[in-house]
Amino acid sequence: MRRVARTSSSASTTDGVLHNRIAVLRAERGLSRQQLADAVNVNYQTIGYLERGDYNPSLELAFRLSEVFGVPIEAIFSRRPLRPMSEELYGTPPQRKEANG
Amino acid sequence: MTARTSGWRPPPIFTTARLTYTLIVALLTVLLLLASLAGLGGGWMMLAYLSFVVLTAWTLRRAREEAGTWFGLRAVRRGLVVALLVDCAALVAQPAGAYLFILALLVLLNVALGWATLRMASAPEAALDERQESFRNRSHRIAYLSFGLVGGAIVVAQVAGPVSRAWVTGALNGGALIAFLELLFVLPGMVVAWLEPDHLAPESAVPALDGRARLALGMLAVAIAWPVLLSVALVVLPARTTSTVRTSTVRTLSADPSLRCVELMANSRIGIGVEAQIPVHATACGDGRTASAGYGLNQSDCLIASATFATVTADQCGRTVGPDGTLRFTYGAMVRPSLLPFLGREVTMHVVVDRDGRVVRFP
Repeated sequence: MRRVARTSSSASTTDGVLHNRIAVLRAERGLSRQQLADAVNVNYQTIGYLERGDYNPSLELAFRLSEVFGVPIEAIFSRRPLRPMSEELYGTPPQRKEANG
Repeated sequence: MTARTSGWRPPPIFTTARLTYTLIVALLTVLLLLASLAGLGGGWMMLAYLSFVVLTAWTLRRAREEAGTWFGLRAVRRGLVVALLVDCAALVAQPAGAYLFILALLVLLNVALGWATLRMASAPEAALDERQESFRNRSHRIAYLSFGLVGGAIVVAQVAGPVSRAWVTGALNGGALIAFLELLFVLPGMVVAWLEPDHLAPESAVPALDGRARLALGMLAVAIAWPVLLSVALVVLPARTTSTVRTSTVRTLSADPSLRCVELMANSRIGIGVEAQIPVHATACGDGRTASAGYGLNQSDCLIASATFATVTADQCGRTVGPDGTLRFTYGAMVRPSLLPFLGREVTMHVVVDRDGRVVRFP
């Protein structure tokens, strides 16, 4: 479900992409796009564009998202691919460990 | 759309969209007044149609912002942009008679474009979020950079020499000027429609159109279909012909007691609104040996037809007197609606008067 965001001129990254987990955080909280859009004061289409990586937010919008989700900005956006939340909480699955050697 | 919290500002009175609509409505009104002054028969019909178009545009603007997922597709929005450009090209080409229909279509397409782009290009900053604002600014930059190139070329042509100056003066006239103004005001909206990615499908089921949106779409369909229907009606509906035949006063002025003259008046009216009128007014006499034309029934009488949003071309026009002294006059005309010039119908008027001055056939 998590989408990889493309970068824009407003957010330069080392590997050329800005990753986010807005869709996961929104789903966890049971929020619709419209509800999240109302909470951060943007059009609901903008939430969709953020989720699918068609738009990178301003710092102000990133902070508003951080406040709504109650997590730090680096938990929502990252310059490196974000690991699934379950992996971050419980570690890497065994089969992945074997596969990685 | 949601309003930004950072500082409330009163909405501007002169937005691009309002200026555009005012300009188009003013132009339509001037053209209509000119048409009425020129004595065109379909003036009232056209006034009713243009009023309906303005009402449709107003209803469409008041319909809800989200026009459904269909308008959210970039392919559909690009189709709308192409339709607008074709309409502008048609304005430049200035087809005779179809001018007002093309302008009316331009109004409707502009409303549809505003609907499809959520009027992002002309919206005040207070009505846009940061993504929409940056997209609007980008579209304005692209649009006016392109327009600047065209404007620069015009300026160069103006100062280059008398020949190019005369060309610019001739080219930027009438429909071309309207097309120029249309692009000047609406090009940013076209860029938004062209570039913005597909809108997201709604998370819940698409709600059925509310009453106002259904009414707006219905009015839009009628506004587009009406000129087409009237154009087809011109070809399909039977002609309404009135005719009068009476003894002419020419007889009383003549010294020949055997001379019998008749005055012939007929008017064939075809179509409603998109219509043509073909009149015949003549006097014919017969003295017992041969019939002759007293007044009318000449080549020039085949040129007095009038038409509104239609064209009339005389393809038969001839007067003959047979060996039995019978006078025959035939006036045939091809009537075509300006909007659908590939359709057409033949209308023929006959005048046959025998040598005794009796009307055998009319019209």
